[in-house]
Amino acid sequence: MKLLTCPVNGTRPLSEFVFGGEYRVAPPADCTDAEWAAYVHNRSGAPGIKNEWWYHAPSGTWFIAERNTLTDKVMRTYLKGQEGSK
Amino acid sequence: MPLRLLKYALSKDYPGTRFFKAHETPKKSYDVVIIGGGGHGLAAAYYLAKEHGITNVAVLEKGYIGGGNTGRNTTIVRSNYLTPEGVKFYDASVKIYEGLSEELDLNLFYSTRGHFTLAHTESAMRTMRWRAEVNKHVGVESYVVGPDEISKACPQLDMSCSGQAPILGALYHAPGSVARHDGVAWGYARGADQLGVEIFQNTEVLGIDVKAGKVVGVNTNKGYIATSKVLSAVAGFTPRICEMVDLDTPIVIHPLQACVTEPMKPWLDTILVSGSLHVYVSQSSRGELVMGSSLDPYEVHSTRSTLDFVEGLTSHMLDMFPFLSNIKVVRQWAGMADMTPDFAPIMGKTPIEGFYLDAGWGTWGFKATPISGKTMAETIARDHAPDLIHSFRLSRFEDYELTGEKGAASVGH
Amino acid sequence: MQTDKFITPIAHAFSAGLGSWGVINGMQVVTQFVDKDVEEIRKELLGIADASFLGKFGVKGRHAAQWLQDQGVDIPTQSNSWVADADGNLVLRLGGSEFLIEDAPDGNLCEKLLKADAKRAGVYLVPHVEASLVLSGSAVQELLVEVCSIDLTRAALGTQEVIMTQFAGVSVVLIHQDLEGEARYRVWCDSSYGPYLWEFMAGIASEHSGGPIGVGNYFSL
Ligand SMILES: Cc1cc2nc3c(=O)[nH]c(=O)nc-3n(C[C@H](O)[C@H](O)[C@H](O)COP(=O)(O)OP(=O)(O)OC[C@H]3O[C@@H](n4cnc5c(N)ncnc54)[C@H](O)[C@@H]3O)c2cc1C
Repeated sequence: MKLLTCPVNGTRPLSEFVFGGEYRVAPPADCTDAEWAAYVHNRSGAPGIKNEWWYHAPSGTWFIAERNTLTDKVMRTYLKGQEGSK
Repeated sequence: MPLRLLKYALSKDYPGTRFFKAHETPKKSYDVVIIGGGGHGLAAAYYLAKEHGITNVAVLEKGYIGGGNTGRNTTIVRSNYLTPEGVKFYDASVKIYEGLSEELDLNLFYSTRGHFTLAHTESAMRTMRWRAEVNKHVGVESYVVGPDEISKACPQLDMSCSGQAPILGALYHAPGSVARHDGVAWGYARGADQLGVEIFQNTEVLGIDVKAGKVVGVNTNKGYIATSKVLSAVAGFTPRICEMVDLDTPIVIHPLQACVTEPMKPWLDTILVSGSLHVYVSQSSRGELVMGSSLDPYEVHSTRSTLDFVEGLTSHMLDMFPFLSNIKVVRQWAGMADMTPDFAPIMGKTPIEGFYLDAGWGTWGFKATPISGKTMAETIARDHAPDLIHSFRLSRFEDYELTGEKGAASVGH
Repeated sequence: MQTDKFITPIAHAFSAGLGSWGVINGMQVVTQFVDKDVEEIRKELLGIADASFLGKFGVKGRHAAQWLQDQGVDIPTQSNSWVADADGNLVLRLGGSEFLIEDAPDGNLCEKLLKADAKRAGVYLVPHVEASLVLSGSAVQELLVEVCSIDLTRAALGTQEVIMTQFAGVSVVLIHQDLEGEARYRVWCDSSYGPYLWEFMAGIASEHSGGPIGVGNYFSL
């Protein structure tokens, strides 16, 4: 069984979590149409260490996991805005 | 015992002809370099040589041919998609498949079984009616059937699905088939080889040389190869190849898993898909049930298998076929599916001159192998994509003209 | 607070003619499933009861903790923990800034809070209609290991801990409570999953010679 650690609720089986995709920052509102379309559709699909949204379903907690998408190893998890605290 | 086998047994050397020549060192340059020796790359090579007379072609495969998703899929061939563009495209592929064993002079065990997409809810029934109408409009044989017809085609099916999800009807698609996947790769490889294409196994592309927006060569573990045209047909490795040329795409990689049971006497002669129960199943010519489900829920660039997958899948299989409770699952595996947001492929030219993309085949690309090979060959030969694949161009995302196939491709592949 | 139009969210799990029905706190519930003595034996081994009729109140937001304190409610200071007040009303802190309050059988705290003025920035009411269950008995751990993949033994849980996890695929909130000299688990789940979870757990309870019992076995009503 694969485990993931929710920063609030602790270590739980992966089945309690929902993947929310990569954490991304939107371009500024005055960006070009092409930049906006690229933001809407394109993803950084190549493997590597990424920050991703994850959701602990029983408690409704959204948090961020730093994960290597090649090895599926999670380096750390934290609440958004509390990146430095761990 | 067939004579040919006897000849092998009695001879000291290997008396047969190899399927394709075992080239070791690539030449200094080729007219076209194809990255990826899966079905798609090999089919493109074959049609380049056969239909366009372009034979100075190298296919570079980092492992062995057919070792990617081509050799990992559950071999379902069908054309009952949701968009007219998709239906036309996959129908053209089905038509080529029907004559392919003959064309490639290799038995691909192409077996037309009929294909039922079961509906357990009214909203699923609505999608089935929608797909049936689109299919009929394009001339593809699909229609909605009721529980009686399903029961008749598959008497073993528990129509109430253990009381959990009673079957209300299905989309029936007569041309639905299965085929031998390795055979497709090997058949195209032999065909291409006979026409002069060179196939290199254990040959990995490490970089693509682009100068002033144009492809000029590729770097491989066997040295530099000059070329002005590169086709990337690498399915689950597409984002890594695109990174080499700084091309952003919507593709993300999720594993897709499958498994088979121990062999049984033949009892299931159709293909069944249930979106609500997340399973699909057919019986192979060896008697195994070949079973699969929807995608793994998150991005991983790996072909690892999980117990969660078999547990979930078998519990739903037992809802449909309670009598299988004593049958064992004997193998499971995974492939890396190159997913697009609209469940349609990405094919054709790219902003980089000479860099052609055949990707976004996700969980549905085996059935498209012949037609994608043909249309990509034409795109490369003429530097212009045929109309048949216009809706699959990469620039559709920038134009917000997506080709929404999710309703026809998320569970049945 | 409730009218007798309410029926327990578990109702779909009960076959017609089962046990005897009654109305508690305005909700139709099964008050007794089998003979009194059989229910008592079940309770010793593995009893499961429906306490969905208990009044509930939810609030969340930046200032929810302060607001509750202003209403005179004692709140747990740690996230994911709970307290019971002198009357037996439960106050659960779900994460950092959300609270679930459940009345004791004769309590009316939730009614009081519903009437209080909560129109303040950073204070948001959350309606709660969960299915609410009680589990106890010598075999209760056997049930918990079948439905849940984390360790829920008394030793693994802090005394006042609130656990949010999944039972048989359904999200639940859980606490362990020692009451009347007895170790009980309290479980809340979305009411639409109530019948499924009840059937599932009642089935396991029966395998251990326990089963459904009237909630009167746990609370004097
Ligand atoms: C479990 C599963 C079930 C499926 N079921 C179905 C189905 O029922 N019906 C259907 O139509 N489709 C199905 N699919 C999808 C289908 O298998 C694929 O879309 C299709 O096989 C893709 O073929 P391809 O030739 O493009 O890629 P592949 O067969 O994956 O070939 C790509 C090749 O590129 C090589 N490569 C990668 N990087 C490099 C490099 N840098 N240098 C050199 N070579 C490289 C790889 O080694 C690989 O051999 C399924 C897929 C999976 C995983």
